[in-house]
Amino acid sequence: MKTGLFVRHVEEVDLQKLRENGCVFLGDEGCVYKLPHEAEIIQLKNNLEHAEIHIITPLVSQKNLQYAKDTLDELISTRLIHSLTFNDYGLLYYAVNKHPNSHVKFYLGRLLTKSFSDCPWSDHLNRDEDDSIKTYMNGFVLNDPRKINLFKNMGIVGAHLNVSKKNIEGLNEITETGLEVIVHLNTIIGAASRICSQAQYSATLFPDCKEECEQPSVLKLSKLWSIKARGYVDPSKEVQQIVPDYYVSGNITYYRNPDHLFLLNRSSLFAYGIVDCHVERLCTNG
Amino acid sequence: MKVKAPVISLDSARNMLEAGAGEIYLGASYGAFKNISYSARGNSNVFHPQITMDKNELKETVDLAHQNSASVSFLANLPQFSLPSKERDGMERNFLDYIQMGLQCGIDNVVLADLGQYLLLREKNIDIPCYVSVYLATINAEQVRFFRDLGFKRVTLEYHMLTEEIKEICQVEGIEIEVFANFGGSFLNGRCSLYHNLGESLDLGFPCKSKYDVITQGSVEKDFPYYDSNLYCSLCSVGKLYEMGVATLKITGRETPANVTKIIVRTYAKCINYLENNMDERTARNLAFEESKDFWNKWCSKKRCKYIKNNVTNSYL
Repeated sequence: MKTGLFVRHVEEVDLQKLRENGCVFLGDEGCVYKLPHEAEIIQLKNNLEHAEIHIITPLVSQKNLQYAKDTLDELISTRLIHSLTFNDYGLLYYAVNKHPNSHVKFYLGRLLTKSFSDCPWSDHLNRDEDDSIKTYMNGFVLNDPRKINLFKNMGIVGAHLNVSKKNIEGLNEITETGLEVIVHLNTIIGAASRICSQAQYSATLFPDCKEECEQPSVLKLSKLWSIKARGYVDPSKEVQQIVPDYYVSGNITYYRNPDHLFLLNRSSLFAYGIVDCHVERLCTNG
Repeated sequence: MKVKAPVISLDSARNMLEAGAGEIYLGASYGAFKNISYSARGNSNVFHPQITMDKNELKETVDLAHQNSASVSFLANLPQFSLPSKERDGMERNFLDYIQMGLQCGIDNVVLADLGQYLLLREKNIDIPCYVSVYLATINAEQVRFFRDLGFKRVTLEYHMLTEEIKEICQVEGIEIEVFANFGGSFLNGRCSLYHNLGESLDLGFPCKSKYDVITQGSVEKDFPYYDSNLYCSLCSVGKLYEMGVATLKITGRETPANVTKIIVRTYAKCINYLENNMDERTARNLAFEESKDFWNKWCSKKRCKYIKNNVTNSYL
């Protein structure tokens, strides 16, 4: 397993760390404004010639579609990037048709491989189901031969996955198909929105919002909105135990992967293990 | 443009059709699941002990819809279709049997949330129009083209859109567009794993309406509804959506009391009816609004309007 640093902005890249790891995933799963540009990639390459640069592209709204397409074309034309990760079928479809024989590897992102087991309380939702259904519901959505064929025919060579103890069983089957598996070691995506929650919270808009999301907000559940009570109630002890703290970066809500160390012990299964530098920094700083 | 209404029983189908629904959507209780169902909800919720139907009730409901010239969308959009090899045959058979049961009852189309489900139906030559569920999170025209080229006949867009974006997406030829009329959470439905309404016994609440202690750069704000950006209503946009060629306005509400959903369906259906009779969009909206004014004022006063510029949509990426 090669360790990749997940960094949203080029200026946040820690060159010392990158020298040690040699591999960076730049961009964001939710925000189009965090896509890097040609000049930034060239500058990064000038600083670290041998760095492996991967780009994570976000979900893309109609209003940003043309901007995302143009930026994607520009990034591919640099011939300096190793891979593009897609979190939007539309942008993927565009890339497949526009750049069918690209030298750049295409990966599926976590928003396209989202599985039921990504839910922090999936075991509770599954509680009364038969064992076979539990296995089914804890599997990876990607683990389906027809889907894998479709994606391979589109030029996909790997996939980012949220992996934990709940779903690790199904991982072998995906690696056996020849797809590269990219695992996010310290985070799982809880939800994505089109609303940038951090920008909304701080009442800013792009480009002023940039500083707000350099550090994720941390959310701890205090009151539940209950449809049964038609209002706010205190969460029960059991709910408090199963709802994790959330880390909000822009329009994506993450929570910490509880099985980080467990994954490190299975690193031979993964092509890349990604460390989200935002969340890592936040946890290191307490 | 038709109003597409949620149906959880034969009785609710009568109500929705009487209120003016031109399409209904529903799921059946079938197969391997207990709490969960193929319809992307649990088999029950806090208001209803059963929101999916058995085969007999499904057949009666489909017949009733057809007698009222309404079509029936069959929900097979549980956004999970992983097929670990040891479960593969059994789950595929179960899913196909579920679809076959719908076909035997006369359903008009199937709503899917997973490409594997779609590819399986095509491989088995099951000839039924397939619609893309909101769980596939469509927010741009390129994604609509992707689904059209695969063979889907309709796409349901995500809740979080702007009218000018829907207009551009409606330009994609060869596929119908469906949009939501009301409600919806703050997250993209198809990109949210904080599930609820799946027959859970714990009260997990609605994560995007709940309150949190928010910690940002050293400061803490207590009990803040951080994600609460739900938008309620699109009545003021119906005229524009109609003009753009949106095929269906989908009403949510399988977890809403039936009397509330009925008023919502009736108001949107009337508004569309006025537009079909060449009334201008403002008059059509006002007339429909007036007929249940007390009900709608409650929502209107909150100024949480879908599809138009406001504090929430200004934060759209």
